[in-house]
Amino acid sequence: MTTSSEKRLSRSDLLRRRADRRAMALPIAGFFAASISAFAFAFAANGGKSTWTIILWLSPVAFLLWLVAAVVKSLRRADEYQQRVQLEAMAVGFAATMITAAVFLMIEAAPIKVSGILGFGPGGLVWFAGTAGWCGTLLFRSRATR
Amino acid sequence: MVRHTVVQVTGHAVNNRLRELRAVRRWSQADLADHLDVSRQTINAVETGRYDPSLPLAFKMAQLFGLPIESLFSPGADDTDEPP
Repeated sequence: MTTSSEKRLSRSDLLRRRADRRAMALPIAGFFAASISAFAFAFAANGGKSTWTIILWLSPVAFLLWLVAAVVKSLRRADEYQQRVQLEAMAVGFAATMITAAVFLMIEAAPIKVSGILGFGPGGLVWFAGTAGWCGTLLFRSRATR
Repeated sequence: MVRHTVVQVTGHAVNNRLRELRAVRRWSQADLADHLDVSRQTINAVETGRYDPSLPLAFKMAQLFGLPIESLFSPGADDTDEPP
């Protein structure tokens, strides 16, 4: 049990949080800017499929790779307990991604057209399952020590 | 006189006197975390028996409190049995 005076962040927490924010701000902003640009261009081009359109649609991925590098650096900055919690959360997120992907593979093999039912491709749901698994586990595992 | 409040958790966790020693010095968890250069979350997890610290961190704790490591940590209930 902790009192409210004990709830302040330690120096290590503050330094890490500041470094994480600095490292992740640009890739996150870039990802959203690139995604919005891609949507805007696709809307303006009215469904054109030139090479440039494909490059524009894939440009957010470059920012995601940058974000992955920032997450790895953040993990290295974390102390031993935080590293363990993060790795557990990532393992659950990875398992959720693989299971969802496997489910879609089976359904497609059935064959049932999933995209028609959901209104979007399976990729979106696979991404959502992984992120939900990761973030959900992180919240659940750190609830008691917060 | 210091009252011994040993955290004991079932399973593999070791018992520790971290909370008691911290209370004697009137340190908050964040103060102790500052001294050990770890997060407050880590101190909370160790104190509540949710996490057993690594050997380097355990030695750092013992050094900070000026005690031998075995007086800070002791085996959990399940670990005290003689090996077969």
